[in-house]
Amino acid sequence: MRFTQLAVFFAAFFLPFISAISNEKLSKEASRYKGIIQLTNNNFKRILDSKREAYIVVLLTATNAQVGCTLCMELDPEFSMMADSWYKDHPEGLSESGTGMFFARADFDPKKNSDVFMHFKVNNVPRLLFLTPQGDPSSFSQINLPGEGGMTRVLAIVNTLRDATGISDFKIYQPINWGSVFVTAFATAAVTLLVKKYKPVAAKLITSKYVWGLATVFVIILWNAGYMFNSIRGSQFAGMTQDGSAVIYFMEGQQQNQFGIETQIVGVIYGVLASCVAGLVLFVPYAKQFYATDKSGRPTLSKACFVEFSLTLSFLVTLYLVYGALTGVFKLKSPGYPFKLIKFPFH
Amino acid sequence: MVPKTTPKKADVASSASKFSDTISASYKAYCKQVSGDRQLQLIDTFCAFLVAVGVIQFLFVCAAKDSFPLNAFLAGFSACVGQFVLLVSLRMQVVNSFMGISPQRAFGEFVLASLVLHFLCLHFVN
Amino acid sequence: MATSCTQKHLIRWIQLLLKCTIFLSLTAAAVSSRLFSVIRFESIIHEFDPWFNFRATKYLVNNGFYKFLNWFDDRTWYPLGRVTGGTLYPGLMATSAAVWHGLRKIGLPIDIRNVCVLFAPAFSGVTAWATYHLTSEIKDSGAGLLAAAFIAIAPGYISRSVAGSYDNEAIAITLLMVTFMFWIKAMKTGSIMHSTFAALFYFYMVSAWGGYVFITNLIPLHVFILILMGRYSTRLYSAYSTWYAIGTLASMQIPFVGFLPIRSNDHMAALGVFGLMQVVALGSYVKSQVSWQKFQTVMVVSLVFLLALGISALFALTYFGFIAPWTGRFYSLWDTNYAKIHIPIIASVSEHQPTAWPAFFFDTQFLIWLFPAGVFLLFLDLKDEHVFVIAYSVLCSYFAGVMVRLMLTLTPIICVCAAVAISKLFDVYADFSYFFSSSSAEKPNLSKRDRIMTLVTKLTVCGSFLAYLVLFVHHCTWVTSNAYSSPSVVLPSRNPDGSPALIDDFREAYYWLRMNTAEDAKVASWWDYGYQIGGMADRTTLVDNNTWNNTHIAIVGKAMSSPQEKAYDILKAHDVDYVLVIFGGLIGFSGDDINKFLWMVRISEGIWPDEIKERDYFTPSGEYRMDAQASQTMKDSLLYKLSYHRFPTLFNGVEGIDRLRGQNIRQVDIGNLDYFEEVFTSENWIVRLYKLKELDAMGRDLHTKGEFDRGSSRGIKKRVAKKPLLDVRV
Repeated sequence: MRFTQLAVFFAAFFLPFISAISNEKLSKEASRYKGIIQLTNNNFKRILDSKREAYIVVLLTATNAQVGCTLCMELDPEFSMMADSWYKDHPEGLSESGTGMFFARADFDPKKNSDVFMHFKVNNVPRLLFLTPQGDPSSFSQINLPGEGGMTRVLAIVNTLRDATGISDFKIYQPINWGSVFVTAFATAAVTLLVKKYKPVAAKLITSKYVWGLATVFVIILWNAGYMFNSIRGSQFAGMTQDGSAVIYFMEGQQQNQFGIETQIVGVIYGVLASCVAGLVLFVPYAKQFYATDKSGRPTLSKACFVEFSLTLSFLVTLYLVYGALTGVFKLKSPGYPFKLIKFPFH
Repeated sequence: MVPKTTPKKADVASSASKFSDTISASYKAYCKQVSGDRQLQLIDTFCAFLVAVGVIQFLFVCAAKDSFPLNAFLAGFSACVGQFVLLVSLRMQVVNSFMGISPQRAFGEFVLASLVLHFLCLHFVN
Repeated sequence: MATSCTQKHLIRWIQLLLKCTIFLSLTAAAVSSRLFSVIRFESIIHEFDPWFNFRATKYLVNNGFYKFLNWFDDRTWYPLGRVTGGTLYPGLMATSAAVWHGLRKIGLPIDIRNVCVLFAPAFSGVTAWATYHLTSEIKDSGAGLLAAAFIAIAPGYISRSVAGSYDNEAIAITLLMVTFMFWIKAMKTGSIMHSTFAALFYFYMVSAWGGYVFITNLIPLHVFILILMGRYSTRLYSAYSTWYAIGTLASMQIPFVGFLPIRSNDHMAALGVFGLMQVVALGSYVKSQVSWQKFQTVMVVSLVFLLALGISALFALTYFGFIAPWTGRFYSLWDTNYAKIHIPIIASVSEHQPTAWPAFFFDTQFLIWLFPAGVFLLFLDLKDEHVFVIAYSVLCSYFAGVMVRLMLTLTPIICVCAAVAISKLFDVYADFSYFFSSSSAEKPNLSKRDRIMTLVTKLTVCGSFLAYLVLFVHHCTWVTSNAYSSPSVVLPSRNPDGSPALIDDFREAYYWLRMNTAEDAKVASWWDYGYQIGGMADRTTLVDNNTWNNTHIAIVGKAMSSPQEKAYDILKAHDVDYVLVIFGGLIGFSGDDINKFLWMVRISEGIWPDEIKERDYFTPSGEYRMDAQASQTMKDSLLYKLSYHRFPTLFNGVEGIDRLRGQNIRQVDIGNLDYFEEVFTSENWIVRLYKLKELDAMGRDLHTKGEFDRGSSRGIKKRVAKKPLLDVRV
């Protein structure tokens, strides 16, 4: 009787230590998935045990397309960047001062980790939670996610973590996009070889007024169509209707805001209109001149006049229709605008 | 080894000789241009004088190791540089007058610009 | 012979008469389309910045130019004061004062306020004239007239030059076009006189606007591109060197600019091109004397050497601190994330946001698609002056896309290029000379059908583009009338029954302040309202729109974000008598202080990160709320209490509905105001004025005093003496 009592006593005494999740165990778990512990119904109780010695940062997310959580999908690579940077510097999960910090993640799957979500009583995603060492598994605090994405958000979260844990040597490494590096190198090499091989053609291209003119006009149209807005604000490419069925091309009613696709549409409109004007000024007289004499040199003025007439008319009609489209599109963005060129039947 | 270095040396030598050739040729041409023309001689002497004055001012600041008051130094230095530039512009018009600007008009404009320049320098010296 | 001579004379006179008539009507259109707000409301200075310019002009007119240049303003940025004479651009004020004096001399004593209000429309006529001359140099006088017409009514320019918008841009755009006009004239002829005028108007521009850096970099860029294209000529040397020498020297005469042209990186491009120009001149001279072969080696060697020398010198001087790097305001145009991280005040200004595409169309309508067509057509001619237009277009398109405010600098070149495009179009299609020419030698044999077809073609094109031009005029008038003619000091709105009503709360409050407070009273408010308080109420302010001292602004921000007691101490330490708060919750005015509150917190957090934390002002779930769910720090903050004081009494006494944010504000959250007392609230509760309470005569802290007053007012007598334990019956 006493022996069993002693055994039980020793077991009860040592079991917590054995079952307590040590930093080594955590780091082993983390190294299985390259620095981010994946939480499942089976292992989360053990990992979030109260006897842990490290801080744990948990991301509860749902990247399934059906859930449609855009913020989750934005946050995923940022979280991975944070965890990877931490893992790169500290593969054991320990900072210089000996404090441990680990990153964990649970991507919602009803079969594998729904218990994790229930444990934290979470019904909105994404949630970034923070557990202190020696804390109760049910006591956690939430880290606020700043609205601005990208590096600003990562740096803000890192600052919060620094304040909370006192770890000062948390450096963020932005992963090198090997794909784009390779493509750039390949393209540069290809262009250099081509230029070397076809030197006279390249020289002619570089000095050609038309090439420079088209390039300049392209750049001007791009900037006038709001390209800088997209690159500074990082605007969405296009919107979706509430039920996800159709794509919205224009942000209606918002004169100070736009989608990425609006730049492209409006850029094309400007390009067509400018080409119509250039065509009217340059192409029509050239065509008239071309058709003024036929191959044998006899003047065929009626043909030239007719060509001039039809070309001009087609340019004018295109101009009118596209300008009407531009006015209509602007009316979408600024509903109080009173002028229109074309009566749109569906508006 | 040897054939590679000798062409290189010859290259350097030839470019050096080209350099000296160019300089001597331009100097000769310059002397020829100036020799007959009193106007050009006057302009060039004035230019040389201005360069000398500017250099002296700059060296003074370097020697004194202090540019206080900066506006005075800048006024003096800009007077030299500005007047030099105006003189060179006038010289270009004397050698080869611009289309639509007679030599008298060029000189008149030069005087106007110089007056404006010196007025500004006087204001700047304070 | 004689008849054709007189015919030519007649034609010239008719052209001159037409031009004059057109110009007169243009000027009339330009001036009248800017007068909407004067006719609808009254002749008043708009917005915020113009109030400071107006106050400075009044000082100049009353005290003379010398005192103005040496003015130390002790009624702003209390207790620091501001060396106003040396930190503003005097061009605008000096011009207004000159106009005022001039009018008085000829017997028309016009009040300085009217001179300032009508200043911008008057100068818009001059801008049209300058644009006419510039475009005539680019193409011909027909294009010039079109460009002048466009710039006279284009909303992009009108937005900053309506009557009442007495800001630097009113005169800056005029001077920009005049400087460019003289520069193009100088560059085309090489005339030293035109260069000198360009330099003098450049000096005038430097005295008027901080955006002069644009000219300082555009002209050297133009010259550099020409040199790269191999179009160096002695005319170019003469024009640029004269402009640089005289222009830079002149620009250093302005106290605010000082030695910037030789110290700051913004101006180094001009100096670099100046040096390069001298070298190219020497090289060109040498080249003319020697064979091309010999010259090539010399040229390559010397170019490489000079480039290395120049770049290393620039880097060395910047590194050792002789030359300051690019100032934050202009650097943020290249590195667009710089301002958000390092200078939040610049990032917070709404004019500094990037431009979405509707803004381009709104400001220029069909000119925006004629603009690329015009640029392309200029590419085909590609004379020296066309290179200038192209460089200006590309550079400005980028800047206009980055910052809404710079749409103003893009508008003139859009007008010029669009005018060139339409002019070329009319050159081809408005040419009816064929139908009027009498000599049969010019007329090839055309059947009647062909003649009619050609006529119809030309008429259709002319007709449709005339219709587009008319639509443009309608659009410009509509935009000016609806969007750009609001004084923003007086707000138009509608009564419940639909009749128009005016919200005049600002002037009501400022006038109260002016009439009912001591002359040396100090008013604390957020920096947006500093200039208006100084201009209309004539009281000393702590911070204003100049935003030159971030720490001082942070002090006011900290006071607004802290609880009452701390705020009282901070404000008392700065001798503040009154606090002014803008509250839009009653009528839904969206520019109120609670909407700006986060910027107050952020700016003060930048200086005191331990005491103020932005997170504390959000709800636990991260929302920015004012109702019951708001965080306690938010409810305790001074701005919350001052904005919502007595607000529920307008409703049922327990809860008030904040119309702007759509939330219910509870009286228990608002609590009691012990350290401040309300002295004035305007009609629609937009402006609220509070006075700091005097220290208690009995030495209690004001919170205790407040509690006592509330207790005694409730009628509950507090037992001070306890009933004795002894049961003594008397």
